[in-house]
This record gives sequence, structure tokens and C-alpha cells, in this order.
Amino acid sequence: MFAFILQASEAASNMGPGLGAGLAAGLAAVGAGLGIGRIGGSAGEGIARQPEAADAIKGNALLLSALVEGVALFGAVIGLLLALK
Amino acid sequence: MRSLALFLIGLLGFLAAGTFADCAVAQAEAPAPAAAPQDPAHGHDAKTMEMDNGAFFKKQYSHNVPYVLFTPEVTGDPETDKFFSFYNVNKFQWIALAICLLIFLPIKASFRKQGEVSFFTRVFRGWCRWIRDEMVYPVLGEEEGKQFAPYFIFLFFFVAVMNVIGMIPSGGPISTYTATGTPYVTGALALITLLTMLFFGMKKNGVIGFFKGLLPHGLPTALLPLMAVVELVGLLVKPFALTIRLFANMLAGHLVIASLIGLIFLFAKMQGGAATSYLTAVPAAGMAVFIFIIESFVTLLQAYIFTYLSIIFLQQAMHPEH
Repeated sequence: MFAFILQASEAASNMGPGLGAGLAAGLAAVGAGLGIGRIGGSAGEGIARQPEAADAIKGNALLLSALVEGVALFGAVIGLLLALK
Repeated sequence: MRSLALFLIGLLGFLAAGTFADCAVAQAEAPAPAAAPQDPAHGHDAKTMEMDNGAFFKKQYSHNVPYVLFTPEVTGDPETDKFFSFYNVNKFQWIALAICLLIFLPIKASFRKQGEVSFFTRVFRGWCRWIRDEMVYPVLGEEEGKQFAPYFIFLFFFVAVMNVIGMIPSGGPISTYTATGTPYVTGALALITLLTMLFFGMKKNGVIGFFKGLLPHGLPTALLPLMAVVELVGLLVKPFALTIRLFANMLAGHLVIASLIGLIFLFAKMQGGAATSYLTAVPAAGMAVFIFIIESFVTLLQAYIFTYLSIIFLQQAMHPEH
């Protein structure tokens, strides 16, 4: 079974960059979703415990989500570079 | 005095953006001279039914690639003239600068007037005060923050205006381009942040003191070379992360919108141009509108993040915490 897969990948020998690009972008999206989901969860919990701090928590959560998104977009940029090669 | 230094560094940034873009485009041109990026307005002769499936998306993506507008004859040599070529990226940076001046010169003049000022002036005064009081002063403190507040206010509005210009739809006579959607412009701005970090960090702590401040206290001597490398890389990677964060956020938003618009043509071609292709265009355009709404929030948020991180990096460079 693996021989068949290896044969197919030999035939499409220019498949590497495209596959890599897809994996990079997809996994980056998974990472972003996980990270921002956790931040959102903690932010919701914090606001539920102390509704007076809602504004401060919202501001912090937004800032941290943008940082996590930046890291995830590194992966997307690598994908872009690979796809355009 | 400090504002003058920062303004000159900013001018350097314009030249840097042009140079980076020029080097990259020249490298792309060298192996394939026929494929130099052209003004996308020239290529609209193909019919939907004759294009193959990838070409719809390529045509939409081509609106996000920087291209040369004109190359002035400064020296006689065409190779050196390429350094002075004027890109569409540069044009939109100048337009953003002009818009910033248009907004802020009347507000500066309004401080001399007595009595009520217009809503527009109050909004922008409040916005600048917010940047100064909630972003610069909490991190840098009042005395140091006073010197740097003008630069960071300008940085915020410059990036925000460039991002927002990219939100204007292009069609017909209006053709806009997101200048921050190229790594050249964001790289130039991050380079300015890096130079500011180095210059003011070294001015405050001395050249040797700046690098000594990078290393933590109380370190075993065997670890010093390793920590030196790690801290140096950490110093250089911070502006690089700024570059990639802003560039990727802007470009990704526009590429997603371009892909969803290309879907309209793809669906039309897949149905052979039947009347239901108007129906399939509706969800595609609907998704594009949704992403547009998110993008309009991301433009201002990324300007805020860029400015806030620049402030934090400057504070870290001037006051090493170890």
C-alpha cells in the first residue's frame, strides 16, 4: 500500500511545494484557533467572575489575540512563499 | 530635535521601502523578463469562459502585487535609474502622508481658536490624547513619553490610514492598493523602530552598556556566549515579527476577499454561464462582505498592535530589565 503512495508521489514530483503550502496554512489556522480560543475562554471566565473588570479584560484579550494571530500568520506567509515558488 | 531625527529616519524608511521593493522585483524580473508585474488594469481582455480555473484567482491576486509606475531619468544609465523608479506602493505612501497632513494641520490650527470646535476636531484630539495617555505614557512614563509621543501618534495614524486606503474597493477610475500589504513598507517601518531602539538605547546606556544590558544578571560564565547569541537574535527578531505580523494580516485579508470574488467567476464558468450563476454569486459575495467587515476591524487593530509593540520594544531597549 505504501509502495502505491510512493509511486504516485514520484509521478507528481512537483507536488512538494504545493502540499507543504497547504499544510502550512492549514496547521497555522489550527494553531490560531486553539490559541485564540483559550484566550477567549479565560477572558469570558474573568468577566464572569468580576464584571467590573470587563473593559480591562476585553482590551487585554484583544491585544493578546492579535499577537497569537501574528504568530499563526508566520506559517501562512511561509505557505504563501512556497506556493509562489 | 528628536522629532527631526525621527523624521529623517522616516525619510530613510521611504527610500528603504523603494529599494527593497526594487531589489525584489528586479530579482523576480531577471529569470523571467517577460513576466514583470504590469499594471493590472491592462490585462482585462480575457473572457470568463475561456480562462481556465486557476486564472480567475490569479487575475484577482494580481491586484495585490506591487508594480512600477514610472522610472524617471535621473542618471543616464537605466540600471541606476531603477533605484529611483516610482512604485504604486510609494504613491500610496505619499497619499497616506497627504491625508494625515490634511487631517492634522487643521486640528493643530484649531488649538489657537477660542470657543467651541467641530466634532471632527474633538474626535481626533481625543484619539491623539488616547494614544498618548493610554499607550505611550503607561509604558514609557511621562518625561520620556513626552518626547516620543508625536512619533508614535504619527506611526499609528500612518499605518492606520494606509490600511484603510486598502479597504476602498477598486473599480473603474478608483484603483487603490494596500501599501502595508507588502513586506517592503512594513519592513521599512519596522526598520525605523529597530533604528530607534538602537539609537536611543545606546544614547541612554552607552554602546557597551546597551549590549551588556541585554544579558541577564548573575550568569555563569560558561553560558555567556550562548546567552549573547540568544539575546542578539531576540533583539533582531522583534522588528522582524512586527514586519511579518502587519504584512501577513493585511495581505491575507485581501487575498481571502480576492479568492471569494474569484469564486464568482469560477461558479459562473462551472455552470457555463447559465442564469443561475447570478444566484451562486450571492453567497460568494456575501462571504466576501463578511470578511470585509472583519478586515475593517483588523486594519485599526493592527495599527494599534504595531504602535503598542514599538512602544514596548523602545521601553525595553532604553531600560534593560535585567
